[in-house]
Amino acid sequence: MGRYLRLYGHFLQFSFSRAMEFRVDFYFRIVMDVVYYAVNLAFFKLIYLHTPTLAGWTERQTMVFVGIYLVVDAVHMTVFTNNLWHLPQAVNKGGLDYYLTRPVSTLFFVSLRDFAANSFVNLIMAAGILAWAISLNPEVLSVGNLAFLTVLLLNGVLLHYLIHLIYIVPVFWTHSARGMSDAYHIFARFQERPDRIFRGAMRVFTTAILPLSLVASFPARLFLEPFDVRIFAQLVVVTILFASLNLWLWRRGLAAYASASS
Amino acid sequence: MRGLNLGLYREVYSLEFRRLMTYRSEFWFRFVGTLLATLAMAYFLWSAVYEARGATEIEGYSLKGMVLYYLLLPLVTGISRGQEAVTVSWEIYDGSLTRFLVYPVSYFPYQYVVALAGKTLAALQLVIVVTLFTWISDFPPEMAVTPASVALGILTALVASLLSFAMVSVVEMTAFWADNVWSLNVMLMFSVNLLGGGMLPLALFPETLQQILALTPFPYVVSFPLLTLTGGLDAGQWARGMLAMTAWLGVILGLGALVWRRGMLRYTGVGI
Repeated sequence: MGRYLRLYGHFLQFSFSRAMEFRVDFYFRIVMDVVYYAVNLAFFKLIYLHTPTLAGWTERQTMVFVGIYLVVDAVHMTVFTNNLWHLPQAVNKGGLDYYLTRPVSTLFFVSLRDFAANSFVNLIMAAGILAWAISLNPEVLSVGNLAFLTVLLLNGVLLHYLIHLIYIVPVFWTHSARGMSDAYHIFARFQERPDRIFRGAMRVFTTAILPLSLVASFPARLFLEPFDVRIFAQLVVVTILFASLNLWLWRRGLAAYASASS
Repeated sequence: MRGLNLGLYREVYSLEFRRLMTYRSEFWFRFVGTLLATLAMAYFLWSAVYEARGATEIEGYSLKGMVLYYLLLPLVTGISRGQEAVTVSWEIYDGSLTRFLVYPVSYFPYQYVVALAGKTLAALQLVIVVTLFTWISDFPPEMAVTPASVALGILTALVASLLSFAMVSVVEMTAFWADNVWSLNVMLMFSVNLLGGGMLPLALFPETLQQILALTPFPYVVSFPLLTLTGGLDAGQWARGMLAMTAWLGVILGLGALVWRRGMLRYTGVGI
């Protein structure tokens, strides 16, 4: 464990040094994420001009949901996204060999090597938005509930990472991630909507098959509403099953990896 | 400025069209996937809004009209925005812009012709979807979609595509001065999406904000061609919109020419 922490410390050091080499880009990206946050908040603000509630939530409750998915997205962008973007190329061109020969878990290395230092600043802003949204709902403010939310956020980050990974792993067999990458971007938008708007087969899809609604919507419900054991159980069970599926696919993918560049 | 070599541009267009059709399954997968996902998202979100409000109409849109707005949105923006072929920032970074300085073509007309191949396919997709929808259902009363409105909508979207192309080009050209401008392009995309009517119809914005937005170029890229297609504008509104769009196009093209001239003075032709 200590070895992994030391290694991650080196990843961080290297990533910050590299980010500061391109300072203009560093600041541009910070502004870009500010625009992204503003667009997301404005979208829901505009919807609430026309309805008193959405999926059972008032505007101030929905702002907590928005804050949760912005934080989860910011952590994902900071910690995982750059790495997962490069993974298909590493598989196609044989670059994965480098990771396979390191004396640490390959999945740890390929998932965490590149830390997006510029997104880290945005993570602080996203956390600020969530803190502001929570302050609008004083009735749910308690140390216990905030601690619970922290755990739910970490679970959301894990699920977001796993959902992204499951779109990439097929590259071991298909050798092109483009179609899957498009699908990821198309479906990622579903996690930015409250789960209760989805009904029927779509609800089964977003809460059990591809657990998009479990990333932010379920955590928001567990934080804002009286504890619902069924929601919590579904969150835990689906996370475990989805993580197991990902690990199984990853191992099968590594076994199928031919190492040859193309 | 080189003269227009129409034969050469026709060949470029033809080559790009064939290139797009090489990956047909991927092309149609992306098209159908985007359409279905957008439609599903719009249906579920707006059903919840109409239900919570207990209304059958919001700012002139019935639920069916609202969902149709989102169905037509990716089709119209496929023409007016498309997958912008402007790659000038990369050409500047890796020095490959140099080849365009000696080729017998002008850089931006060349890139627009490349983009035009994709826009032709997007127009075809739009016609197919509208035709299929007309067969299986009716357009709601607030949408007067006719063959003439579709033709005018496509024409308007094509003019809007010039505006969008010019906006992206100006942003991309900041690469003459900055290390990496990818994030600026994404910012522009976010702005056009929200302020142009790509996330929700502009009729749902507060009245004052709508008036301010009408003075910006954003609605002309998304909302204006879409409203033209759905018959949401009378002749006077359409003519005024075209005039405003053309004026913005002139301003941004002028700005682009200035940035290009200043940028070329800094361009070293050395890649990273």
